[in-house]
Amino acid sequence: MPGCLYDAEWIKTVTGQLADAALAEPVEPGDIVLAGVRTRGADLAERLAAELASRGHEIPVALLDVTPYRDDLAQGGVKALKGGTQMTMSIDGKLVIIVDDVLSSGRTARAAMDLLMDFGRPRIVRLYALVERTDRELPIRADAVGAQAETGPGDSVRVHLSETDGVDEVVIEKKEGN
Amino acid sequence: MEWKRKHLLGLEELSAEEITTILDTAASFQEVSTRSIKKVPALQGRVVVNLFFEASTRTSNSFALAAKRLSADTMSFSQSGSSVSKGETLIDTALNIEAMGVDCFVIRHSAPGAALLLANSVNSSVVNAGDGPHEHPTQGLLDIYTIREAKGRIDGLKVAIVGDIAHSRVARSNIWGLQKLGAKVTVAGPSTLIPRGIEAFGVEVSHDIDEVLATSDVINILRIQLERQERRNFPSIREYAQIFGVTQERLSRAKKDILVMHPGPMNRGVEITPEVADGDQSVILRQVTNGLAVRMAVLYLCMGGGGGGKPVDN
Amino acid sequence: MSKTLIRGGRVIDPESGFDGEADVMIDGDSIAKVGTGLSGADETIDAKGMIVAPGLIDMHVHLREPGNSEEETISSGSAAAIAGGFTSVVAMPNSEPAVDNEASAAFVYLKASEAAKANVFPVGAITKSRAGEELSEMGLLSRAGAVAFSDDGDPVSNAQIMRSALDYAAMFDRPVLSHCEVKELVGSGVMNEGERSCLLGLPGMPDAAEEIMANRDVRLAEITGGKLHIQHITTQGSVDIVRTARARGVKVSAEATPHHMFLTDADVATFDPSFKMNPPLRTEADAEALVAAVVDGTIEAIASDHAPHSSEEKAIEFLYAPFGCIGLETTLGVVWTKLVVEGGVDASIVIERMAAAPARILGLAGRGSLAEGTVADVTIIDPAKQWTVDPATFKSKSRNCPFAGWELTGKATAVFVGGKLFEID
Repeated sequence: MPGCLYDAEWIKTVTGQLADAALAEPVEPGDIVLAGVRTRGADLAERLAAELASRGHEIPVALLDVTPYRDDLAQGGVKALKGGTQMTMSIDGKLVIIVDDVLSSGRTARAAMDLLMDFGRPRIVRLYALVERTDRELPIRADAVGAQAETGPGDSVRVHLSETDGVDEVVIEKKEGN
Repeated sequence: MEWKRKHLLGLEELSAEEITTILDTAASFQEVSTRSIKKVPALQGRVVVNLFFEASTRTSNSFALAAKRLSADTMSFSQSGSSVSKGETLIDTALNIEAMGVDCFVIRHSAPGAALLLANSVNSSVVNAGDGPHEHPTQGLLDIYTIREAKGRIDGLKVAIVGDIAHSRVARSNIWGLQKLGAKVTVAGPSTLIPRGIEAFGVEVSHDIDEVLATSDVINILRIQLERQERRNFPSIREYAQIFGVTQERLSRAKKDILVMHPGPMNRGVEITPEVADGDQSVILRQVTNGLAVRMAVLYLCMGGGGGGKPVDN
Repeated sequence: MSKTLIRGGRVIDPESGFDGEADVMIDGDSIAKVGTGLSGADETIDAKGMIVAPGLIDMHVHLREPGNSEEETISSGSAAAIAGGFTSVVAMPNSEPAVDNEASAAFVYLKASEAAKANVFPVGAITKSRAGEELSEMGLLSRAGAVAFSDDGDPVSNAQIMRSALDYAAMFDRPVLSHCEVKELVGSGVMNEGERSCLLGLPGMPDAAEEIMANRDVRLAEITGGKLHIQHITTQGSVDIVRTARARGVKVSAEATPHHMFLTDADVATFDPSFKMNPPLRTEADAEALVAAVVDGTIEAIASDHAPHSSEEKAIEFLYAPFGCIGLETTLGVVWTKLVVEGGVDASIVIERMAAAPARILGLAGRGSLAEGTVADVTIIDPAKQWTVDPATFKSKSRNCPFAGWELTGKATAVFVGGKLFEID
């Protein structure tokens, strides 16, 4: 697929599916914490929380700035922080759902897990994303995902959310020859 | 984001965008100090050396803690007196330390330009923690951060700096940073403590503490430095306290929401009274707290993106 | 006795007023004749396109021997002088120990004659050990060949001592060379006091510190009738003091250095100790006033204040580095480039300031002139020679040069010292 587009409707549908997945987890909803990876993962986590709230469940949302946990800090230029981590609740014994827009190499998810461990000891950690790329670099998979993208090096998967980008869409572009 | 520097030697050479980048980065690091495990792994395994040729526990500890919050390892070398009296030059001392494998020097020294001399001689990053009366950039930054935190902005504010301006690196760094972000700065103090040539900074000058208090949004009170003055430029501490000391009584005639700041350590009863220091308008303790986040930001930015290798054009 | 002919150069002899194409005949160690179409020499030097001048005299150098020979010796200093086109240098007495007695003055002459390069004329200290308290034995020093008196490096802070010095030295017809600096005002200052020192946070040395003492010394010279020479003058205010004093008939002369004429306190911004001098580099306005005064003759002499320091000494914090820069090998080139080539000033003025005037001020008989019978000290200058200042190639032992890397026009290509030829590469 040379260029592929998922629209706002699709994102809304997937959000609903992720909410279903959250409620199907083997814990009480009161033991769930959503942890959104800044920037767009955090926007998604807020949307997911709103969806769950509309179904009668108030789920707390932590916002994770994983920049200081990246494994590539010593390479290339300085990485800008994304506003810091906001975690006002305890995650000990909870089921924490890491929410991100795209699961790419798996390194962001690893960094998010390291961050969580600095805050406490979750009982279970899950990973939800809108799109999961197939060219992963670490042995990390999403537990619930909207779509898988068959991608290789040079391909791009970009999620745009209205909170940050003014529009809701997912754009997948394959490199020439891939 | 605007940061390509390996060193932080002063605020004079920074752009407004670069200063804002440091402040925003500091804001993002603020929450680390509120966690129970007060660490992020950003500088794990990197080594930050405090090279303090002038005694200072508070700045030295602030930098050491900031480094540790970023998971860096720290080392501390303190030597008082000039390098000349020690026999080993600044450069030799630094090269010897660097040979052990370090990534960043935080240097405090009595000679203006010492941080630049160090930056030109080593491969590591260099952060200036005060070079004589020349600059103390992280103090300037944390002061500006504190003002921004309280007032929401810097642009258009009237900031007064009071005390021994002539010998103050805090004053100079503050003037550079505040002016770049659009504040209007007034320096106040005895005429003998305001340097000849002050017009080069483009600040207002006043010798009337009451007038300054009445019109300022922020007052930054400098310590009267008894150790750096070799000449008594005012007749007595008593006279200074009477004529320039900020008392609760004086403060009551200032703007209600004036911010009272002091870089510390304070001479309680001289330039500032205990009531003022501990009062509602004082943000002196916020300055200390913010200093941690600002120094974390500075270390993260200067050492980020690799470090090591040949000194880059700063 | 061999005869050498310097043929076809532009001969400039300010003392006699001669300025034109001519030949100079040297016989042994003296000038035999200046004229056209001369012949009969054993050796001939083609000076076509060159300037032929009386040997240049640097009336303010520090040679550091005895005491600090790693910085410079009388031998290396006199070699550096030749390389810079000087046939004579005047050595300040602040060696360790100071030149405050006949033996030490004789020592300078001894070392200079051993080196057998440029002439070295010692200056005696004004006060014993340069401590500023008791007059040195000026009579005996004069007999031993001291050409003037100075406590340079330091001022004479006690006005009564300075008054006595001017009075007493006049008996021996020696000038007092004054380093004008009110030490209490300078304190721990390391650069000019002004806007730039305020920005840099470096303690300043106010212009008034020089002017107040210059004014004091001028009045003391006036009431004693003594001969005063103000060294390394640096401010507009000092220039005005000298100008009005000369107009009144006071016996006062002054010298300026190339670094004070062509550098300013702006150059200190990099904290490079190459730009740390005492007196310090001043403002653009001061530098311009110095240049104008040198051109109009209010300042009669140009001198280098050659102050060698080892690289280790200068490679430290600006605040702690010693004061001073070398200048023997750059003074002529810098002055020629800035005044003659860029400034359109006539070459004869430069020769007057660098040869005739120093000889006159110090009463150096037979020097600074190409008159028949005078000592055959001659400097041959290529006014168009382009070169780049590279301290690594200097004959001086030291490298603390603020003009490093400068592209200059004008260089001495040869000198004669007492009739002996030295070619300069």
